[in-house]
Amino acid sequence: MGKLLMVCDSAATDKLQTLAIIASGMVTSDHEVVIFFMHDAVYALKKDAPPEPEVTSIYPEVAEKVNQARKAGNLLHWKGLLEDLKDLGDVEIVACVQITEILGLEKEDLHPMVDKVAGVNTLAEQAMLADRVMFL
Amino acid sequence: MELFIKIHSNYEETLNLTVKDENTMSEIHKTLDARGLSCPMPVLKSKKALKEINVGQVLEILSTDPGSMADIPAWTRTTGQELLTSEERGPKDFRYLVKRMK
Repeated sequence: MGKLLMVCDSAATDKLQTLAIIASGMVTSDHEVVIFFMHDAVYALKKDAPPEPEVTSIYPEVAEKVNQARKAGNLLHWKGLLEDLKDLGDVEIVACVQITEILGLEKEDLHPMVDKVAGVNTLAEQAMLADRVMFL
Repeated sequence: MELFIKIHSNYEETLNLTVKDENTMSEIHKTLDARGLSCPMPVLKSKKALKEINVGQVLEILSTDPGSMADIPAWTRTTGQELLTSEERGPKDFRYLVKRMK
């Protein structure tokens, strides 16, 4: 089947949740997914990352209702969802080496779902190997 | 009554007893109760459940997710599985039968 490269540079909870949901659609449809985390998104993958901020929105009602749904347990957390997807299909998770270094981190300091720490040429290669690229 | 249903459904799942669908007369080999779950969980759990039955066997999916009416058929089309039945039995009450083809 096809291959999707997803690139995310944000640690915003809603953005990461969206990323995991789209990845779920791709993996359950038998597509391969490579996810490249950059900048703030790498920080969100730190093993000792601070508690995640609540979902924000320019519409207070959206933030309120989504956070209520999260608290009620109706939405699976993005990390848990990605872990599930790694068990289920072909998912590779890459953390950007530059920000990992700047933050003084090693691969071992990141969530175990991270397959490797690599640079932009890995991203360039994956972008050309993939059928589609999605930036979030 | 509620307790009985719970025990019964676990019992059925553990022993993998087969029941027949009234309309298609297909044997149902596994039932996934995805009621109360929202997108993307019904399809994610269906995918896992399908791996637990053999090729040629049928999975029954129960869902309350209105998106499943579009998503379960799309998922079966993309992955080459056969959708035997797609039913809207009432408001937020959906039932599907999927035959594992590969």
